[in-house]
Amino acid sequence: MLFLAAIWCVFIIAAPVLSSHQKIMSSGMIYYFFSNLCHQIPERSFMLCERQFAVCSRCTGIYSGFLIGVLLFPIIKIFKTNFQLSKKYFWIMLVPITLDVFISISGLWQNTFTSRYFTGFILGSSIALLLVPGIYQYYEKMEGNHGFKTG
Amino acid sequence: MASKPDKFVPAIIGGIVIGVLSTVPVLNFINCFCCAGVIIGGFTAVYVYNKTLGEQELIYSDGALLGILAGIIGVVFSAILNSIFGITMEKVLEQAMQFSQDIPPEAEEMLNFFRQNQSSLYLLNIAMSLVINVLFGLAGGLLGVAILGKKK
Repeated sequence: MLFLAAIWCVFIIAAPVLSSHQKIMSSGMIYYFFSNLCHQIPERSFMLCERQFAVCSRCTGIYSGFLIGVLLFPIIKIFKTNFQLSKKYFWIMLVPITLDVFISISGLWQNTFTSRYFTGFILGSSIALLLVPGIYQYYEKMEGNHGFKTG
Repeated sequence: MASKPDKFVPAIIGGIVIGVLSTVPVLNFINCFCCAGVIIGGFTAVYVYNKTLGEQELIYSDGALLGILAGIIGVVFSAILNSIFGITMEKVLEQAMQFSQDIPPEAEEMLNFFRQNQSSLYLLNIAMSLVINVLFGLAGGLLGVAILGKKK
């Protein structure tokens, strides 16, 4: 999962870098792939080498948040062995992004790069912290059931 | 230990949800939000499966398998629904060109290249849909287990 999340984030950043190095075909392929997942509006995307990221700032937040969440889990586990983000906290983590989207749609407030990125980041990291501990515990249990554990 | 219920029907239901959310105009905008339509499809498959489980435990491998299956079936249903709605590859391409002021110039160049090679564009789209649907269907399936699963 860590590998997948890391590759995903590398592709998002690689698109503008490749494009700036005139690797049009490979960067175009990445941009085209991510166009299935994101609106890619330039005004709402981070820039690198004067080119936009492969996804918008909110999606960048979600994916980078997910990666950070996966990376954080082993550290959290040191302090709290049976850590698992509760479903209640997961729903609470959905509130900022929902507010950011709907308050902006209602016209009461125009969301910003920072608000889009951070609300996405909160959602992405909470998804990782909900999924990764569960999957980890599942594999631990399976290993135990099959007698793979040696320690 | 009682055998687990069949996963095929829940996966088909999830696949239909993915197909509908990916092809029906207006509804398909949901996929601009990190492929939420595919995630919802994977989640739906787990939800339906969980209803048939009874007292048995919903586990992550079930969710992963259901999500992946729903994603693959979703590609098939999307293709069927596209043909029902009369959405040909040419129309998809036209639509993409219409929105080309919003997509990066590199992607636009790709589209121009594939305009001359429509069969390769079709294959590329199928391959991309498969990768995306499998990954996000899997995410939806795993999220389904994390949210719906009970500790037994």
